[in-house]
Amino acid sequence: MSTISTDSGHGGPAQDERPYHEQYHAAHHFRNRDHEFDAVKMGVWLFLATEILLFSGMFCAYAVFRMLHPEAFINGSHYLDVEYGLINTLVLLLSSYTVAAGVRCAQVGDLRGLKRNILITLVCGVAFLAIKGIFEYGPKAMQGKLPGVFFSYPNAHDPNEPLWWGVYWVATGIHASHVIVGIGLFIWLYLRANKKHFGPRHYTAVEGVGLYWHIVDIVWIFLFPMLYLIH
Amino acid sequence: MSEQAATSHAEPHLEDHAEHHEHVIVPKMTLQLTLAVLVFFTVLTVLLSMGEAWIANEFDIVIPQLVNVAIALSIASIKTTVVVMFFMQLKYDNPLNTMVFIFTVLTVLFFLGFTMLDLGFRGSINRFETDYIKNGGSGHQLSMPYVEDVMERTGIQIPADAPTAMARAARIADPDNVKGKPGYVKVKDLHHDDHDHGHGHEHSDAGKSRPGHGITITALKPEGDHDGSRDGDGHDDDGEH
Repeated sequence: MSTISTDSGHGGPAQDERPYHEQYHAAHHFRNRDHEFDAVKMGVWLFLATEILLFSGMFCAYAVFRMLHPEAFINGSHYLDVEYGLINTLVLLLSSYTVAAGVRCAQVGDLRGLKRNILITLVCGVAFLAIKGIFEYGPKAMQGKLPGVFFSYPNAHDPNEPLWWGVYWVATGIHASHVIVGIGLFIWLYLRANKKHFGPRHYTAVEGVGLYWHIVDIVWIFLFPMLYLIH
Repeated sequence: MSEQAATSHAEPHLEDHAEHHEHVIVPKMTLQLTLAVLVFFTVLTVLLSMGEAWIANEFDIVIPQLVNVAIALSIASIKTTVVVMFFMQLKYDNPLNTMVFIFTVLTVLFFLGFTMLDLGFRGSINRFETDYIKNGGSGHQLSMPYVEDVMERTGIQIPADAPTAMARAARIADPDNVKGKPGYVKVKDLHHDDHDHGHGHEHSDAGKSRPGHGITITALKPEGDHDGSRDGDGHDDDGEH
């Protein structure tokens, strides 16, 4: 109802004028904010462990199919353009840097720097998807270079190339869906940073999303040589 | 610990001091240096891959796949280590998180390692066990929607075969497949992908394909060994890429 109660959340008469990150208190089941921060961070790491295991399934499929059908996979990597893979790798590396720099900005209380870094990361994520979609997914789908039953590319060298496309589309597709989720998370972070939610005493969300984004980057660090470089 | 809980009501600055004892702020220089190292290794791995292709085309020395794979994955591992240590701050963090990460990596290596051991060496003790590895995956049993569509429209029977052969047959049967148009496929190309790898694939983008020796180590030989039959293609397209 009143402006005071919407601001403080408790409706107490003595309203705390400090920004959110200054007056932030850990949830009551934690000893203090540091305890909470460490618990959240470890939770994020355990989640990242499951992410790594998710992608390891695809790496395993890649290894098995490559051993069984080396020709199809050698042809497969020649269908891809190293340039786009390289550009996308650099885009993701840059975004990883800006995330790490953003965490640093939050730690030293540089809110403008934090917002700038989040924005650059966002743009990098969108650029990654745009490059992938416009120059890779689009043309390949048009040419019928699709997995399994959707395959309709008439000039294949090797009868097992649909398998290669299966690995390519599923691995990069799940990675791209992680990038989309990451973009959503960065929009959320930006909105919160806009409300001055983050500062030296409270930046848990920035740290957690940052770790997630780095894992997305690491997955691409492996996908890039596996798909584009190993001929 | 009880003192810390007590200080949480005190001055913000005091509390700050008590709570943030282990949050390391990584210097900006370190982060920038990390980025530089990552870009360096990315460019290095691309250059090595291009160099390998160049050596293969120029001097006709095909570097074994295993070397290629080992180099590329080692560089990726170095990059990952750098990202994890400095960007993800495991170097400065609670060692428990490092344990989580290391055990995850070990689990992945366990998966990969034992799968590869099985696949690569299954026949090396009892030769007959190799037969249990089915190559599979060529999709002979698939019925493909567009193939049925083309058959219905043109009345041409397209034999159920590997998806690649079906795709080629469907393209040839397609009324859009006209000489001079992009993506034209000649009738004589039909079924080339099964046996003859020598000629007639000028439309394929996989121009620089070379005979593959793969990373298959022992017993396993894919059905229909194509080794060496496609050297010609490798030399025709030196200019590309």
